This record gives sequence, C-alpha cells and structure tokens, in this order.
Amino acid sequence: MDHRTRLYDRVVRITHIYLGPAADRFIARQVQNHLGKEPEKLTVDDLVQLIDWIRVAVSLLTDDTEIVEEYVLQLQRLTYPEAEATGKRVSSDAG
Amino acid sequence: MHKTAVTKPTQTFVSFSILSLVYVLLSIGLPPVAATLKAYHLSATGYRVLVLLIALPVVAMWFAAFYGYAQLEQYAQTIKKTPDGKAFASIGRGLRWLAWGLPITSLAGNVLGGVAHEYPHFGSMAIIVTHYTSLIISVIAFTIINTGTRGLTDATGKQPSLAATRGLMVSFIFLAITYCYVTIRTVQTQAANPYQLPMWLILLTIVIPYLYAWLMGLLASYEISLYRRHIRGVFYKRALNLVAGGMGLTILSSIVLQYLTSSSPYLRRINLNWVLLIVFAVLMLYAAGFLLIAVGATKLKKIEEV
Repeated sequence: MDHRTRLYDRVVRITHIYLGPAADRFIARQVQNHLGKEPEKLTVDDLVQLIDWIRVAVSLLTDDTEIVEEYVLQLQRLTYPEAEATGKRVSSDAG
Repeated sequence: MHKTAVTKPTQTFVSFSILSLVYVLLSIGLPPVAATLKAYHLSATGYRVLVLLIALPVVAMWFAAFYGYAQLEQYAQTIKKTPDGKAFASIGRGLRWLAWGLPITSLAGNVLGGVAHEYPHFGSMAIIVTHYTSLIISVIAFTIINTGTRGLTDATGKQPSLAATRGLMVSFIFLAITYCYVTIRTVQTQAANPYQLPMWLILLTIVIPYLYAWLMGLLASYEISLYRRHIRGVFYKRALNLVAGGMGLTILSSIVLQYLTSSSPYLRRINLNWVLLIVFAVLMLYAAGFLLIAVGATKLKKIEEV
C-alpha cells in the first residue's frame, strides 16, 4: 500500500464517523466527479480542493453547521499532519 | 439505470391509482355484507356511507405504503452492488409485499364477498380464500424483510443481547397465547364458524403460520434497531433512525392489524365507534411508519447522490 492509498484511507476513516457505510462511496464520488481522478491517486495537494467540495456536499445533507465544521476541521488536520499533534486549526481557505 | 429509477415509481403509482379506484368503486357498488348490517344495526345506505368513510383513509394509507416502499427500493437501487444494498433491497421487496398486500386482500375480500352475496353456496370458499390470501402475503412479506434485516446485522457482526432475546421471547409468547385464546374463543362462541374450517386446520394452517410471520416481523424490527445502534456515521444514522423507526412502527401495526382482522368476528361484540377508533388509530400508525421509511430512505439516497 503506497502513501497515496493511505491518505485516501485516512480521509475515508474520518468520513466514516459522519457517513458510516456510505463514506467510501462518498469520498470516491467527490474525488472522481470534482477532482477528475481515480480515488487511489489522491494526493496531499488535492486535499484543500477536496475538503471544499466535501463541505459543499455535506452542507446539502444537514443544516447543522457545527458538525459540518467539526468534520471539515478533522479533514484539514490531514493537510498538515504536524498540526494534528498540536491540535492547531488549519484553514483551507487561507491559501 | 436512469430509466429504471424514473419509470419504476411511476409504474408503482399508476398501479396504486388503479387499485384505489377499483377499491372505492367496489366498496360503494357491491351489496352490503348481511352479517355487518345485522351486527351494527345499519341500513344499506348507512352501510355504504360508512364504507366510503373507511375507504378514503384506507386509500390514503395505501398511498403512504406504496410511497414508502418505492423510496426504499430506490435507495437500495443506488447501492445495489454493496452488501447493505442487497439487504436493503430485500427489506424493500418485503415492504412491497406488505404494501401490495393491503389492496390485494381488500379487493379479494370485496370481490369474493360480492360473489358470495349472489351465490351463497360460495360463501365458505370466499371466507377461506380471503383468510389465506392475507396469511400468505404476511408470511412472504415478513420472511423477506427478516432476510434483509439479518443481512444488515450480519454486516455489523453484533449479536442480540441476552436481555433483548429474553424480552423478545416473552413478547412473542404473550402474543402467541393471546392470539390462540382469541381464535379458539371466536370459533367456539360464534354460531357460524368464522373461518369455515375445522379447529385443527385453523390451528395448523392459520394460527401457526401467522405466529411464524409475526415472529419474523418482531425479529426484523429488533434487528434493524440493533443495526441502527451499532452502525457509525452521524448523518447516516440520523436518516437510518427514521427508516428503523418507520419499519418498527409498520411491522408492529401490521401485526396488530392482522391480529384484529383475523379476530374480527370477536370484535363485533365491541361498540362500532370503538372498533372504528381502534382500526383508524392502527391504520394511522401503519401509514406513519411507511412515511417515516420514505423520509429516511430519501435522506439516505441523498447521501449517495451528493
């Protein structure tokens, strides 16, 4: 298993907390439809764009902004693994 | 795939509309049931007004049932290649049997009742066929639903707790004994045997299959609730709660409805107002269950579409 696949799995693992059995299908669909690539080719560089699309998609499922932000925050931590250790929030909108 | 997704609900609602129209026309047009006229002291006109008042909410309930199963089948179609997709497809098929069972048994009862009115020697056969039609649909529906819910719990790998198993057994024993008591009392106390069958045949071919069907229904209801408790996913779970709650409500009210229908001669002792109130309350719960399934399935489908 290479690094790219591990990253995809980590995104799915976080998503599983929110979308349960639909997580893998959901992330695969976002990557294929919005990033135009196969899920196993997901890279760290794609994450910011992917997170934005996920935020849009999940906002269509719920009005609970708090939980959407919590989900997005967990995904953003994947962008900078060192932030995960310190608990520092990283904004994808910054760049 | 898109063609299937679009045409299937349309076909469902065309079928629903035709069945409803035939049912309302038959309800008004067919001659009144003599036993009911006598039991509730009704005139022929009063009977028809009463039948129409009952037919309209019944048709509304059918609509809820058809809408509920159609939505769940559509959701199952979107995830058909996954293990939970197969399980949801099975649940959808079972609910379809339950939904179609409503107009089929009502129409069979109306048509056969009408034939029996014209040809009284056909009366016994009409009663027997009506009872078995309802029974067969119930057995098939609950068995298929239970196959689906078992598929879901197998996916989570969770076993029912000891307390839950015991609770389920006690509930089922209570249901079985009271149903046997009501059935035996009905046959013994009515001048004309309401089943038109000997007691051993009633117990063997009506009571036991019904109890089997209801056990499957209770198990299905418990298993979907077990799956809901152990599955992860905040948004998924919110939608699933509606489907599970709706299924529980539909299955339990379906059991109560079948219980009341199969012991209807016994109910003639009760005041008509109370009978109507009880039947309407159960029908409303039944419809509410299917509507919850529809709302939950729509939310689950949306997760697969965004």
